[in-house]
Amino acid sequence: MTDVQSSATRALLIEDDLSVREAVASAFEGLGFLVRAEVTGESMSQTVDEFRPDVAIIDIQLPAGPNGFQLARQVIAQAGVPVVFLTAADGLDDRLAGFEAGGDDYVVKPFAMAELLARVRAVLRRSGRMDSPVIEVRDLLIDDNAKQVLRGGVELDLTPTEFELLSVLARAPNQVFSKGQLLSQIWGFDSYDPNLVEVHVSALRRKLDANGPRLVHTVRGRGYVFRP
Amino acid sequence: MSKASKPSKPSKPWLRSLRWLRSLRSLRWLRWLWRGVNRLLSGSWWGSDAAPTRQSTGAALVVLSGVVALLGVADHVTGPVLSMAAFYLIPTAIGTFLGGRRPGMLLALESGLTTTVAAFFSDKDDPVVFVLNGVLLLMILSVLVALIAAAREKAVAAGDSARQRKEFLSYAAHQLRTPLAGIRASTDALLVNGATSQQERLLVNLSREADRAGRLLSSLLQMARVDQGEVGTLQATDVVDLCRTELDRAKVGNQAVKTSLVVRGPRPQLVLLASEATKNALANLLDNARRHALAEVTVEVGATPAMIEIAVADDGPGLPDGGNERVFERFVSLDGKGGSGLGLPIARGLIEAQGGRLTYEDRRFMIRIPNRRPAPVPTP
Repeated sequence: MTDVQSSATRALLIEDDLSVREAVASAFEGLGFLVRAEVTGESMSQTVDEFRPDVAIIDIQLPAGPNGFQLARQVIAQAGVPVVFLTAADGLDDRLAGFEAGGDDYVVKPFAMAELLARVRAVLRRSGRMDSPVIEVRDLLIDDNAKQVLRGGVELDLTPTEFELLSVLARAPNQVFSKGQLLSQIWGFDSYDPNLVEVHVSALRRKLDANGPRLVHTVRGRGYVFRP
Repeated sequence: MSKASKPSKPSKPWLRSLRWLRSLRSLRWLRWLWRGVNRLLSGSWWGSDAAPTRQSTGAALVVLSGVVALLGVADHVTGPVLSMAAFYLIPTAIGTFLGGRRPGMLLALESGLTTTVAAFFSDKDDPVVFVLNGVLLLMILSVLVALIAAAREKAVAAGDSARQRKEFLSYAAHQLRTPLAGIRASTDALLVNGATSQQERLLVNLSREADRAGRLLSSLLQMARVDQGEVGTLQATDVVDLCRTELDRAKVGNQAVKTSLVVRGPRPQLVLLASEATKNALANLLDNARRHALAEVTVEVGATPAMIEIAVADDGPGLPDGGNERVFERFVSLDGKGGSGLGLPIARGLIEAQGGRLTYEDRRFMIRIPNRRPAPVPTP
């Protein structure tokens, strides 16, 4: 791990299913999170002490040791960080038990990565643990809390999708995002259609370019990039 | 019997033929009879349907009532046929209930026959009348047996199959969800991290298919729960809050469509409804709305003294003519986009199960749920 990541958001993942564990860890790492993935929570207090997570993503049914609810209470007591539950059970009782245990949100398997990302970002934002919700690049200011974008002091009227699109691109300047990457981070669910990205990128560009030089560029055959 | 038990020598041929009666002196014949009846009931002759303990209970009743009947016939102490009927009705009913159809039928047969025989031996009236009475009794008892047995078997089977289906469904759901989650998450992770454009196209397909399978699974489960009448208990609920929460959830799913919540008239008070079911129904309507909306989905909440009304509208093309009811039929997808065709029927089932109605009118979906208030509130 590089130095840059020492300031990254730290996500603790407790999930017994191998595929889900590796996939979630890989996706979050790809987005700049520092991830620690464990199969069970048997040595939870030590893990929390060592890793000092900003957010915990916990599967409720675990093969050994305390269950997800008990782990959530422990993490909250020990580190006071937000908890998002992952589970295959979607009964009302399970969900209520999740919130009673102090969980901040609840994602039912199978889930879209975009949904998990959105929910984790939301609980981080609410708990103030996301690195600054405000991004400032040149004459552009993006306020993630107020959902406002200003260019050269002028507020732009963006749709929620355009806002998310700009926010994802501007958080990683100079990184090329393919259409699939943007789709999987912003749309998820059943709306997979590469044309969606083109339509929204061109709308976003029109609004951004009205107040200054081009920021969102097309990289032919690869995708889009934000160049300040 | 006394003749058979003490023949000193087999002088007469007809007496010799009754020599087997000597074996009755030992009680072994009782065991033999017991075994025979048991075998009859256990199905080595007829095929088995009852549990071993039930068979034994049934067999015991058959033997017992048989012995009682034989004594009655022998002693000529049988009363009128009708009181006999009452006498036999009880063991037959009990035998049927405990043992099932087969012992019950045997008991009925036995009761009818012994009554006939007893009536024949009693010297009060015309024997023919008593024979007819006996046959009549046999028929009544048989019908009774069949009715009791059928009702009992049906109740047992229904209870078993409902429980089994429920257990099977929740088991299957859990077992299927885990691998689906793995496929979906892995695909999405590859997409998030970036791939070549060709890989990406395949990954997008993979993710979309895994998503479809997952949503179909959830819908089937929900439909099954609705069919079993599981909508949860009524809770005091703030309908406006409920709508806002569901709208927020829908927003996380799709940022492209604008959503708005309108409260018509004064804000509705707390109302008693199945909140989870209502949430799910609303979620299905919102999912439908945002798939067809061009830019906007609107939820309007209002209350009359009798009803809570929640209207879900989108600015899409609306339903084709004649689709107002067809859209609520199972596995019917009017837009041809390959949806499961279960979302709207489920929504309707969830609302109707709590005494409400879900209809499509004036280009919007309208939920009406009885305005049951948890505590008396002055009406404006």
